[in-house]
Amino acid sequence: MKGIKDLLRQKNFMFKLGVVLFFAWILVAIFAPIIAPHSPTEGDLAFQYLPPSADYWFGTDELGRDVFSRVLYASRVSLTASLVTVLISFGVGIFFGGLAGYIGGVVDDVMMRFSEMIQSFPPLILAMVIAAALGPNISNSILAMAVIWWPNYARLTRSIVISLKSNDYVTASRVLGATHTRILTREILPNSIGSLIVMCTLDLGNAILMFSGLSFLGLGVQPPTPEWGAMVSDGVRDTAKWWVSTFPGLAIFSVAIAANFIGDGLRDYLDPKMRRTNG
Amino acid sequence: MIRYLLRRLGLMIVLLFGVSILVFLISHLVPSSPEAANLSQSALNDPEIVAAYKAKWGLDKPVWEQYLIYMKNILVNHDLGTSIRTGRPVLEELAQYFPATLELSIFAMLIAIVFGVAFGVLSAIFQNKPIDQILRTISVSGVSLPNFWFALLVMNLLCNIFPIFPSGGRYNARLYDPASAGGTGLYVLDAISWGNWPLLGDVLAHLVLPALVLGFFTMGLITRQTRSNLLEAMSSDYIRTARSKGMKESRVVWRHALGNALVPVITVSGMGFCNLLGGMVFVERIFSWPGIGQYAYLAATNLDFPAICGVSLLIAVVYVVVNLFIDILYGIIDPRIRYQ
Amino acid sequence: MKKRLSLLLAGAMLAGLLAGCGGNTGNVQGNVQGNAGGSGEEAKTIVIAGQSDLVTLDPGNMYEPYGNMVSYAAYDMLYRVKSGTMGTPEPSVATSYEVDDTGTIYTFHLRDDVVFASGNPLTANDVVWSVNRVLNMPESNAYTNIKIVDHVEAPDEYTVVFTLTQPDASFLVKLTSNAYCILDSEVVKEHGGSDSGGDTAKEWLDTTSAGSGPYIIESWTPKEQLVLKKNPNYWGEASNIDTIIFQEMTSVDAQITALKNGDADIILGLNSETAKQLDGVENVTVTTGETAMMTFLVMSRDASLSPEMSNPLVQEAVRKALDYEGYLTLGGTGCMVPLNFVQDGFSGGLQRDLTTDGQDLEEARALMAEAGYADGFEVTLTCANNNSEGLEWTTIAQKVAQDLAEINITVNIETLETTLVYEQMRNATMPFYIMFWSPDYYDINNQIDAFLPGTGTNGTAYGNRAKWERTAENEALWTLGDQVKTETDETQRAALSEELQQLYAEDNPFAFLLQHPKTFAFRSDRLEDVTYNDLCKIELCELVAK
Repeated sequence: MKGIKDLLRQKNFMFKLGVVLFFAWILVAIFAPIIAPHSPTEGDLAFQYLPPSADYWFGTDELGRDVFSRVLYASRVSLTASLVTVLISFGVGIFFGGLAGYIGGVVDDVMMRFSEMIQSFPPLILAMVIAAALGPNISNSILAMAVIWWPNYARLTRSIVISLKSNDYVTASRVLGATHTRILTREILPNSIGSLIVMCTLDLGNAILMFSGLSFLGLGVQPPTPEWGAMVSDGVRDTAKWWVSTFPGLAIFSVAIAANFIGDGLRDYLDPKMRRTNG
Repeated sequence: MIRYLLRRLGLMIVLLFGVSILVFLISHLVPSSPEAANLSQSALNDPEIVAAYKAKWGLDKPVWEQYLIYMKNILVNHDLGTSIRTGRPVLEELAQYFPATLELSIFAMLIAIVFGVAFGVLSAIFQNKPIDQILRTISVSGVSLPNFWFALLVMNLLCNIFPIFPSGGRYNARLYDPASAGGTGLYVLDAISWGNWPLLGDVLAHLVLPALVLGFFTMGLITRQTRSNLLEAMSSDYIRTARSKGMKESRVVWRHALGNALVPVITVSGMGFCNLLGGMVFVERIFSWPGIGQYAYLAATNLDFPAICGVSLLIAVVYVVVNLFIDILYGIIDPRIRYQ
Repeated sequence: MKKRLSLLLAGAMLAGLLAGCGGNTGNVQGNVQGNAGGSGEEAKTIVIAGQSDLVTLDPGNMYEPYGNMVSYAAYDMLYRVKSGTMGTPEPSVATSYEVDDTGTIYTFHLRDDVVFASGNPLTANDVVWSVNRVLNMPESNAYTNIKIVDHVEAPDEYTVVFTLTQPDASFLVKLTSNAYCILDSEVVKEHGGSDSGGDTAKEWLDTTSAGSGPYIIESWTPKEQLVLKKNPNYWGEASNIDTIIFQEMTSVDAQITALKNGDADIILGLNSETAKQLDGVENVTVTTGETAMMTFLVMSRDASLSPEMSNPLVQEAVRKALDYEGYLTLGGTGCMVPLNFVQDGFSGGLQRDLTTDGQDLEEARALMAEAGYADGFEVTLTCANNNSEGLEWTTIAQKVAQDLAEINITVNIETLETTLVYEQMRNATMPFYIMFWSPDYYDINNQIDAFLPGTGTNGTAYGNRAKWERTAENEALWTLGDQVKTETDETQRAALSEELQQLYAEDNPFAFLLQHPKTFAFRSDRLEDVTYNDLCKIELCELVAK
């Protein structure tokens, strides 16, 4: 608790802005049905392609639906999908990375070669191939992204574990007869959690970008469920109706930038050397 | 050094084999039939045509056998197979689209490195001044902007509302015909070597916006890295020593601090380059750029196995080579790194 | 010091290189036009920007919708589609034909003044050779339209006799497609062409042409551009355009900008909504052409897929619940709602009368109640990532879901890649899906073979795909259908066709939503007019530059 208070007391405007933005989006996601003035899925063709106005703040789309309400509702899918992706990759990554780092030897070699294999693709292209092959829906795109992401966590965890393994207190606890599990869960993980959390936060921004990118390509959410990337792609067909794509794009941008602000802030806080230089 | 290189090359080959298996498996997981995608509706009415088609593409054999045939063709005949979607040899298609992507990514990288380093240095020199705040906002935007949306925004603004740049393609068709002109496929280079200046201007005008959008993310990465490295370097002992000797501040920054600060930037550039290859899918689509990104997208969504495998292998090769190159460069610049 | 020296050297080398290049600017490499030789009239180049689906330029292999745009420019057939019509044949290389009493032997009389671009005269032997070439390529997509031919002979240099496997009132229409393009047999043989199987000329024909049309294929960079040059040996009236360039542009925005600033003269990727961006732009004309492309819903009769949706009463209720006016709004100017399976432009094609036969929710609800589903049910609507002339299917699907919610049907949309949807369509495993249809040849016979009950086996046509069996009750459809297929008198045929459609409307497993227009625009300061027919798309041969 004290740590969090410390963190918030820092004179880091961007970090605070990030936190505010992020929590604002979470509130929007939870209370979307209350805030949204119109239905996100039902439209009236008599109101097709209306520009922004007092009734329709963000205008209407091809089916006459309110873009504002859709942007609000879309936060649910986009935020959930990115969070789930990061959590899965995090879990899988620290498990295998911790294992590889701790056991070492052949296990480590195989694991690292495998993760290198996955990492030798530009992430988006591999995700695209997997999502297209499995068929487009939310869980498949989450799966596709998790497949790509876990090696990052595995490698980070592994390097932390290896450096900690030779640390004095680990050696000491081993001498004292601690079991492997105990050393891993009680000593090594708590000490590496900081950098992992920073990575998670920064990744959340990347996950939002990639998830909306997949949806933009038609490989994500099923209509009529609103999703930001898919909404931007609705606007590509006719860019003269700029409002159709501009607002959902801004939403993606705001979440991604919030995640980056928070991640940077956390990193500065956890790394005192950086704190000095970033002010 | 030689041993290290050999080891890396060996690993590279293992890696590429792994990649080929991985991609082959993924692309064959699907319960779908390419013949349905590639024959006309009435041709599908004809079992005779369908059977002939399946036999022609080896679609009637088990997956592992298809894989062995595929690898044999690559290694023995240097043949990546024929695209199911277009009926053309994959190698020929990759050769056609790769220069477009290469040209675009080189320019995007140039923009990213030049502006990234410049912004990073400025940011560090004017730490916490307004200019630093602005540049930091730009760089963090760079890594947070969905590039499909950014591309759309830029295009709408600079091509439609203010028609300054052409909004798609690589050249004005009235000026140039790539098929009959020959050349390398890198049009900027071609135009310069032919001394065809109007063509050069036209090609550059087409290149600016997509390269800018594509490079923006990497620029953000490089700015951030340069800034924090430079700040760290400037507070280090040897710089303090240099300062205390009365050296001019600009000389301190340029001669001493920057050199050290730029080393990690090389690594980030490598990361950025890979990200760029992914961003290509969007940027090429929106700017009608006939490159590998669009090819990969069409191959993936049409489940065109040979094309998916070919394009994935190409990208993996590029990735691995770029990373090897960066590691070597790293070693040359920073003698502290030892090749193990 | 060393560094400086090497820099200097590099600089000097670069300067030398540039100077060397500058020396031959008289003949700048990479330019398209040969600068028209500098004398006389300026060379005229027309640029068309669009997104084609061309995968080959070999007329014996193509079936892509844009294929005939190219094949008509570079090749001739015995009969060709009359400009601006939906598949009406008119004489081209042949001047006339006779058909015997059995309806299976067609005799064509050829012009004697036709020459290929190579200078070779076009004779009956070339026709026979070209037809045999495709007849011996069963894996080719063009084969479908030609397999009706049993064999073909040339009794003399300017007569060709086709023997068909069975009578076919649409043979002349099929004859206008790329499968029957006449190739310069001498030249193609030199490049691997064969009329007895094992043909290897495709690769060569992808880079150039060997025909007698007004243009020659100069070069082709797939997904980038296609360049056509005027044929200097053209036997007909020569065009005043020297070069036609088809430039691939995936984005509609790019096309619109290119047209506005004059980089393109014709753009093809518009729909009625995006065309509004060209309102009031000087020297730009927006126009539409009629297509035979239809979008429709398929409701399978297979009760194991959905006991509710397969009910004929429910299917009629769906047709009654659809807001046809709404689909017309989505489709835009020029869209039509066909009554059912026969498009406007084909023999007797009827349209839905929206005042008496449009959306009627009360009747739809009554039908649902009669079927026993007054409280509704849930069904999955499968929708491919595809579009009909720029109208996304996902948009249509969302509208359908909204319409059917009115009669308590809950529609869950499932979008899939087109390839996967095709696969499922052939296996007939989807209860409810969106599809489009564009005929393989422009005749009502094609529609009958695709849409009557029981057509096709193993999911090869819509009768079978919708599990709509041919039974004693609907046998009347086939009695009429067979009459239409062989009737050669046009008035009589149209009357039969109308009768068939009225009968069809009483019961079928489809809901036909729209017949789409093609919207395109051109620079009126550079072109006289641009005409369209659905087989060739833009009629390149009819273009006249200003």
